[in-house]
Amino acid sequence: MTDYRSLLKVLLEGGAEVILVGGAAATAHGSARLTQDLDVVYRRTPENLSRLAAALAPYTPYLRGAPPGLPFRWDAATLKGGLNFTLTTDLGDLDLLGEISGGGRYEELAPHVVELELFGVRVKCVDLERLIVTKRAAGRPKDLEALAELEILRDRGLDPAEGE
Amino acid sequence: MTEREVAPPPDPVVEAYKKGIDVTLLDRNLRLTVEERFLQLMELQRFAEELRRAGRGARKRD
Repeated sequence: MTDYRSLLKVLLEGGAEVILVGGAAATAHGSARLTQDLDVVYRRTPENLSRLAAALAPYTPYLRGAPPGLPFRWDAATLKGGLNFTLTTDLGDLDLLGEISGGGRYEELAPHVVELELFGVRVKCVDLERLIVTKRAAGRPKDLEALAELEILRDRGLDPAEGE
Repeated sequence: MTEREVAPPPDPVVEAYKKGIDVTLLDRNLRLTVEERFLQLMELQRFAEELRRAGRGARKRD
């Protein structure tokens, strides 16, 4: 199980600049679909890479699905050398995304967020309209079903998450 | 012009999926706070994991 409360607190109280996207963002907007991980787009400044590395280090991040024992080093240099990381942590599965289809990088996504008060921290979450754009751009079969639900949510009116 | 006005035409696959979506679940979720939605998701994850565990146990007994 992914401990959303702890993961979000660890990231945000550690000063990491991230935007909630993917299935967890859909949950924030009212989706009833089950999602297993936390997807965030992170800002790729040197300062933020250091903050992310420090915040998550105590929770043993490791590459999800990789065989144990690989020489995976969790630090800012590793983050700088890659872009999108699918990780396991002691707090659950976490996808750290430097860029997403239909949303781009942190700076491009930042104008399209709503701020939520969640578990005692202020969380930036992609707004419903941009979430729909990213799901459409991803275009995987599972995204088409998710897209149908998100469009219904949009068409049913203003979600409280959008008004916060 | 807003993004919504320039949105692409409806995708027939997406429109077909819409017919199978239980909107009562969505309406119920929209009455919850965002935090309550995440607590509900974690509860659902726990239940799914319990079902998987029970399934593994049943297969072992067969």
